[in-house]
Amino acid sequence: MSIDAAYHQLLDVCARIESTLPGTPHATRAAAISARLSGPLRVAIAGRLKAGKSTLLNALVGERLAATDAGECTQIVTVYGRGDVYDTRGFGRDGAPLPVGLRRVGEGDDGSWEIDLKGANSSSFDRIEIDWPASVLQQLTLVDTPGLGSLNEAISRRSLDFLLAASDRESDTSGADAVIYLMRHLHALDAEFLGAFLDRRVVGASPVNSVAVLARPDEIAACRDDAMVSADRIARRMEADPVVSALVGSVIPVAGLLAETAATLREREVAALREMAHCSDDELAVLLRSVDDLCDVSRTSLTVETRRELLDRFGLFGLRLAIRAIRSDPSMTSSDLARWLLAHSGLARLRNVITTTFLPRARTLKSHTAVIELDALARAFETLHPVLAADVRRQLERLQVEGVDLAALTVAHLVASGTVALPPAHRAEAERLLLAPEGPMAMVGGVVGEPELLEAIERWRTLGADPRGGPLAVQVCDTIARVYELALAEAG
Amino acid sequence: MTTAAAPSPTTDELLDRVDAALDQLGQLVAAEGRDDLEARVDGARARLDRPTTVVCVVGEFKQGKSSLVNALVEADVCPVDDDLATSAITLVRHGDAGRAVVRRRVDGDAIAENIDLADVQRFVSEAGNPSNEQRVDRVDVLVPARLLSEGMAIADTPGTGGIRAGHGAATLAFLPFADGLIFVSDATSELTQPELDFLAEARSRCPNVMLALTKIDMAAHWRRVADLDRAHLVRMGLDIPLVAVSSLLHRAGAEGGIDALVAALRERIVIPARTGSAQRIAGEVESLVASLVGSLAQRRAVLDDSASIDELEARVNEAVQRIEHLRGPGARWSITLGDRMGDLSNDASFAFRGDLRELTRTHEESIEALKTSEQWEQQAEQLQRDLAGVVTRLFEVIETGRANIRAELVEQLAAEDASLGGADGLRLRELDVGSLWRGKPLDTARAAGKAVSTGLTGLRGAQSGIMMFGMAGQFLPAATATLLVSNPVLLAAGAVFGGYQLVEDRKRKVAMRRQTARTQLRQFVDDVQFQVSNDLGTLVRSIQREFRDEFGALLVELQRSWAESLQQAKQGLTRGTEERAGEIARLDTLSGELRSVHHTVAQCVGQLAEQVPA
Repeated sequence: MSIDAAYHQLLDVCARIESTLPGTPHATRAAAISARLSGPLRVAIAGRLKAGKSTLLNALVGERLAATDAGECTQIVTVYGRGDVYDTRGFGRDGAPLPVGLRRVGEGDDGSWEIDLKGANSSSFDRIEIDWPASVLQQLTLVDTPGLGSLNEAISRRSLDFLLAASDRESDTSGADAVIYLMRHLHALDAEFLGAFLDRRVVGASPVNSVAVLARPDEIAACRDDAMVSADRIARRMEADPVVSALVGSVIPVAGLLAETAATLREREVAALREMAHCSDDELAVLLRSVDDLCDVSRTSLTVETRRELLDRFGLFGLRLAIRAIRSDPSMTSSDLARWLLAHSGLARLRNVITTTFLPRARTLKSHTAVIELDALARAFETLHPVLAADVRRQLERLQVEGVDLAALTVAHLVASGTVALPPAHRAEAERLLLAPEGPMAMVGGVVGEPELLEAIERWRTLGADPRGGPLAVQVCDTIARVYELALAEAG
Repeated sequence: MTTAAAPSPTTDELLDRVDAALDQLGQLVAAEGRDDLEARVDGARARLDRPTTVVCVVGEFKQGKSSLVNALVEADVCPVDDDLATSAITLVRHGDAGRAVVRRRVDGDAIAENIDLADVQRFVSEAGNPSNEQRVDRVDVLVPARLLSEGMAIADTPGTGGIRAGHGAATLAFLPFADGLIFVSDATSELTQPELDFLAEARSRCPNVMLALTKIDMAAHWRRVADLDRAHLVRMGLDIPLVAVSSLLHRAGAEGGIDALVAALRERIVIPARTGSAQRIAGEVESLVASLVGSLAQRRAVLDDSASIDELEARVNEAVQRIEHLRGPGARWSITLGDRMGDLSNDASFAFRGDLRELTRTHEESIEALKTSEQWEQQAEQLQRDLAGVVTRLFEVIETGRANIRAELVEQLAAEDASLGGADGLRLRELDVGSLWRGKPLDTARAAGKAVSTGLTGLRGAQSGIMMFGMAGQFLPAATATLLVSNPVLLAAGAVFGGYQLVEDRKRKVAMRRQTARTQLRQFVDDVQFQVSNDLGTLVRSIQREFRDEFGALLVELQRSWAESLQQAKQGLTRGTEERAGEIARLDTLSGELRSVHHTVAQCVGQLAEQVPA
């Protein structure tokens, strides 16, 4: 069964639940699962407190939608989706709608957006959904999550609750299909980060659908000019670490603030930068030495407020970078500068990973999530309607067996995360096959001939029959053998 | 505190006066030819000028701890890198020339080797020594830094992602012995809950905890973060001062807040330590002066009345004989010392083994309930903390026992009444044997003896402190390494417990892994027990030796005081009447001077006590 067929069957299952149990919360939940299946891929931005999740989201959307602040800021899971006009919807812990608004702060093009909770306490919210007319949201729904390791246990809990697999969750909010983990610099051998940064309980998070972002990379190297080079080296070292590579496909340094500012750069700011760039070398050296020097009353013709705003928008590293760019090429226009800053932020590489690894398998990833969610839902109405529940679960099982893409995805999680240990040669082969963005069938099809396919089937069947492997190893071997069998059938 | 009429002298001035008085005392006893007493006075001065204090620098990974240490000592002693972090403990101490000593284990033996300052990074950084694979206990770096010249040693510790595990646990365990802690958190984000929990625990174990907010040169909102952090500290009810610093600006010659931190360290740690030394020294000066004045009085008596020489000779002979006996192995105090040390050693190791057994039992029970890797990681952390607690308790028992034994010995010897007689006579009173510190390496077990004390505060500056620090550094990161990082079996066990698969269908495997975990637990506890028992034996022997040396030296000194007073009295008899009168006048002056020194010291210390509440 192709992934498209599986996808449509899942939609049918949702429709059946809706029509059989109308007016129940189960129907609402089924409708939500269905809507998610047909909507864009959901990518959650997760990470530790103050990693810069909201800033990165703003950079991806190109608008200062999510509030950012020096203190802990995001306290409610916020889902950003595509809409022709902007719209906000709040949902309480019980799923009931709560009134919220989106308020523009600041004037003209200077503004950023602030969510207005209409007097309600943030803890009474389950999530907030915001529709926004941004092109990137056509392909992706972005989810901003409160930081893990928050001072407020309840806030951290909310994030985990959202990210946890459906079966482990208390609430019925939808999780994510893919995850961007933001992490600040971390110790390669620090086993702690397994728990704190890359929570393994997160929905099937594995290199298949997770990417790590080395956040605030400029700060790692004390905002030196070569900070991004240093960050790149660190990211590569982390990528090579087996503990990291079991959890994410790649580690990309992204200077979120720089990217956000580049995406929303204003003429006024560029003018101020130009003025600052006129200072002598000595003056600039002192001015850009530290944040306190920059905001010193006695320096430059710019007001302290202007300089403070620039600092907020660019950071010390960004300012040094922008001034250097303007001084080296005074004819630079605002859009040139924006492009130049964006290029230095590393955001393009993150976008590239999303386009080349997440989006091509979007349907598979969404279906995978839906299977998990529907399974949990079926369990929920088991007592209410045992016949339907049994039916749904049977259908889901068949889907997982027959939908080879779906089965391969599950198995890919197991192999890539190291949950199932395979002999090295087998592992390399399995990863090549399972992690291919266009799906395993495309990888096998046409590449090998009949004898090779037969040999491969035999090899994986033998490995699967090894009594030392657990049931998961059997599942992995069977699935891979079946991929080869299907390829053989298609070839024959 | 200050009165309008006469402003009371500052602590620094008072300490200077005590120092000057000790200088005078040293000259007086030297002029009398008592080089033994001079050495004691010199030792006391050294302790007054440079009391040994240890300050730990702790924080999560990559917060700028090593940079801060470098800024504090104005030298690049701790390697700093964007990526690679500190992997072993560095103890930065005062030394005339920059040099370093690395202490590590080779095939189970502890070795110490001198290395070049430039080679330090080979042993303490992830670059040269990943995961501390060279088994470095610690690296001592000696630099001529102003801050350190008053006796402070600064320990740079490896950071951990989880501050309460690994080195964090090790440092917490060591804190009862440390004089201060600088917690480092950078200004790019506010304190997290684990950091605050650590601070709360640290504060309960050590009165001098400071928070250094680093990297304020590049954190745009550091003032905001500082305010948030202060609010968090207030919310937790923690009385911890926050100092905002920039090591980078400081090293570039600009104001980076480091001077404020140095001033705070001096005020909160060095000055109280020096005051403490002065208070202990006062007692020593009193006994020393009393002994000398007593001896001078004998000589004066003979000069006054030559007939009394026979009586003196008889008394001296009797006293010398009694001291001779006291110095021998059959003396009561010597037997008591042996007995008590034996008892202490037995009691301590019995309690230690009991604690370990209890710990093993509790953790084995927990292993039975293990289901996920998170739980296992938490348990491994808990294991480290529990072990650190057990080892700390052991040292507390030893330290308290040591103080008790010392008190008993002093009492016994005082009862022997081997004094020079008379109201001024020497009593074997509280002597500050810390003089033996001088010229000795920091970690050879030596006392800064003090009266019997209860509670953790009594451990500060205690002899096993540095040793404890070494132990903590040696075991607990090893625990991390063994249990969390380099042990594939347990990691595999973790992977099996975890994952997103249910474990019900894999009961057999889980049981197998649990068995492995239990075996590993026992093996680890076993290793710790072996090492600690070894070090315990060494420590107990060294304490016994130290007491024997201390009281032995005191007895020799006494004997010499007696013998010399007789000899000099005899010499005095050979002089003419006029000469005798001159000698009597000289002895009177000398006695007066000695009493005046004693008076000055006592007065200063009295004023110091008023300034620094005990």
